[in-house]
Amino acid sequence: MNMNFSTTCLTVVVAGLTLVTFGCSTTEQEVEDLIEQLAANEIDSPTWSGAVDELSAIGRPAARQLIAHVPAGYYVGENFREHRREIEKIRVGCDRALAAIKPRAASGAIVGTVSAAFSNSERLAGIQALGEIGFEQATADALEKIVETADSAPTFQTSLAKEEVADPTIRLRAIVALVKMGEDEHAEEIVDAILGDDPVQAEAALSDLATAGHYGVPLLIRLVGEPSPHQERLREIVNRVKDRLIVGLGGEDPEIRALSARALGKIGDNDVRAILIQQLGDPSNRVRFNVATSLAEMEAEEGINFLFSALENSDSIFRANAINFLTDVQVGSAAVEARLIASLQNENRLARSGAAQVLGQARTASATEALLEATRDVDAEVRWNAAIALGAIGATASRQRLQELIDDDDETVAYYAVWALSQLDRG
Amino acid sequence: MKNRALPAFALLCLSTATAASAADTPETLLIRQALNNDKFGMRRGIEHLDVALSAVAPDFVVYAGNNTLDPRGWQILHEDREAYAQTLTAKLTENQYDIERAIPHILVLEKKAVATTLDSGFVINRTTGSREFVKSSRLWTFMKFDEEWLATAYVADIGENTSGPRHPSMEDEEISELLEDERKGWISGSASSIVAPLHETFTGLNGMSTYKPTSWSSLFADPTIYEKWVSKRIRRTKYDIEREVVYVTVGPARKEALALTHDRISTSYEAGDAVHNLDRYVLWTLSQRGGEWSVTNVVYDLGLTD
Repeated sequence: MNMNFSTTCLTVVVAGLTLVTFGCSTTEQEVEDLIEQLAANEIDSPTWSGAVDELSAIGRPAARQLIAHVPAGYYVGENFREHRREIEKIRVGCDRALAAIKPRAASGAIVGTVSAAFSNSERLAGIQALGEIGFEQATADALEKIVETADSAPTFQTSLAKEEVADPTIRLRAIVALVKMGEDEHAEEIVDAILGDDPVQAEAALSDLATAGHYGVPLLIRLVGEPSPHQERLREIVNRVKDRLIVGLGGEDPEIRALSARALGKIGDNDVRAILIQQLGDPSNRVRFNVATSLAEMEAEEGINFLFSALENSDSIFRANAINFLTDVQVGSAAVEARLIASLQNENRLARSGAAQVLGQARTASATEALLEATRDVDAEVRWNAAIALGAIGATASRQRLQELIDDDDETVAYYAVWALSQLDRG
Repeated sequence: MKNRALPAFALLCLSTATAASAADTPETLLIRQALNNDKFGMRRGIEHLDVALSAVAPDFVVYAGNNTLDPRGWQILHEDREAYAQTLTAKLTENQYDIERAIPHILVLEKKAVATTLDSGFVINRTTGSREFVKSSRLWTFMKFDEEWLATAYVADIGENTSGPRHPSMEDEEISELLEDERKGWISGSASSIVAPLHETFTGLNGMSTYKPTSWSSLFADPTIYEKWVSKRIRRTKYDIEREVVYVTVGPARKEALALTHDRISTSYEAGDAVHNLDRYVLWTLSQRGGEWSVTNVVYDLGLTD
């Protein structure tokens, strides 16, 4: 009996260990086989694309091996491949899979392969992957360098093709990648490309924007609003981006959830409202504020209530967040203006004070009368915030009242009255 | 794999300064020291012959580069240290060498290295006093024995390009057979046939499609790594190789040889229908010391033209 039990236990342990060991090596072997499939088939052929899809589906467990196959230094010793075309096929396939998996650790390896020493296919796949993986300073620097130099190097030497003609879209694709990571200094060139008359450039911009995430949304929304022959395509892209952002709301990283929520607010479709309302229960404050801000911009009561309720919170950080996010909403859509003005009469002093701050930061000129009234509030903090707001708005009609506030019993109120008057003098 | 106590061939070339540079490692500093010993011995004359010889391995080989980087112009001058010492004795007895040496490039591959030097200065005839200005580049190979780096070979006067004279190829059945067997090994997918002729000190370099040794890079530091690569490779691919032996030169004592092949390689895959083709020149150095010929060094994909 004992022996039987021991034997059973031993069998289970051995079987478990075998499974674990075999399981690990199976994944590695599977990845290795798929990489071999990349080498053995033409780029974009059905088999090659199938390998990329399978590698992407394996996800993070494949990332280490994929990253290893990107740098030139990998192909020595037992990893040597004498055909440069083979390496190109592998590198492009790995870049495409890494673009889908998005492991941060891949950036360093990929950055080293977007220079003019590599082929057009390798550079373009690398640039796209970098845009998907997201911001790293070294990545942004490398892409900026491409933007700066792409036009000055119409041809370049690679170990693959000796002298290759530079892809005409490489600069634009680097710009799209930068936009995808939140660097939009050159974004206007994307607008020009899509609204312009060069179909090659327009297609490059559209196809790369198709995989945009949260940072690409403001540009896409703007483009959807512009008349162009690509309206339908742009709407399709926005819908796909929206679907990805909804998936992002369920992600592990609160930063991604917050950015996804904010971008969904910019898209503003009513069908995401219910999803966002549900997300107000997110464990992260940052996510909740972003969700509420998006809902508020969509004029959803749930979001507006959340932010105004936060304005009354005794936690100063929570309140500061409420002020900043309400300012965003007020600047973007003015959806909360009436309620902010009404809040200046709220019985809660924190609500009155916060509302004055938001109206000032958002430079809401239409709130001048209400703010003048707030300068007579019993609470000194409300009075000084109202004075600051009037100064920030530059409300000349408030000059006389501000003069009076110089003699306020509270020194802080008097100080900010002087400051506000100086703002009026500056015009 | 064959056995031999010491290596053979000499690769790489071109020079700058004997002084240490910021990129130096402990290994490159030791190699610089060995190169400086050789120079010091040359400058100080016959009474310091031992210093010059202290930098070279017993199976030291010297190739005449004949002012070209195209191996078709190279010949074997000395096949061991004794032969080299005899010539050096004669040269140092006859001349004084007032030379400076720059070392522009050192590539270390674990316990192997290639380096280039550029010597310039005067050769002064001790009898007549006549002075002749010389400027000469050398391509050296090194190997680390215990803690000491010793030169295993050099190619003298390699010049700066491939425009120098070419020599007619020797007919050598043994060398041709070895190269043919290696080719057949690839075609039949037999790892044992491919690695059989490799010497235990085998080193593989990537010529990177150029004849300039300063651009070459390391591929295989020893035959074990090469064997691993071959085994991995033939499991998943099929090779077809057309090989033309374009140049063979064998030393007078038949201890050392050099060959250049023009290979047209076609690789197909188990996992797909792509076929990759490559047209490349391959430089082989071979050694035969008491047994069969074995391959000591290979430089793949030398950037040569017909």
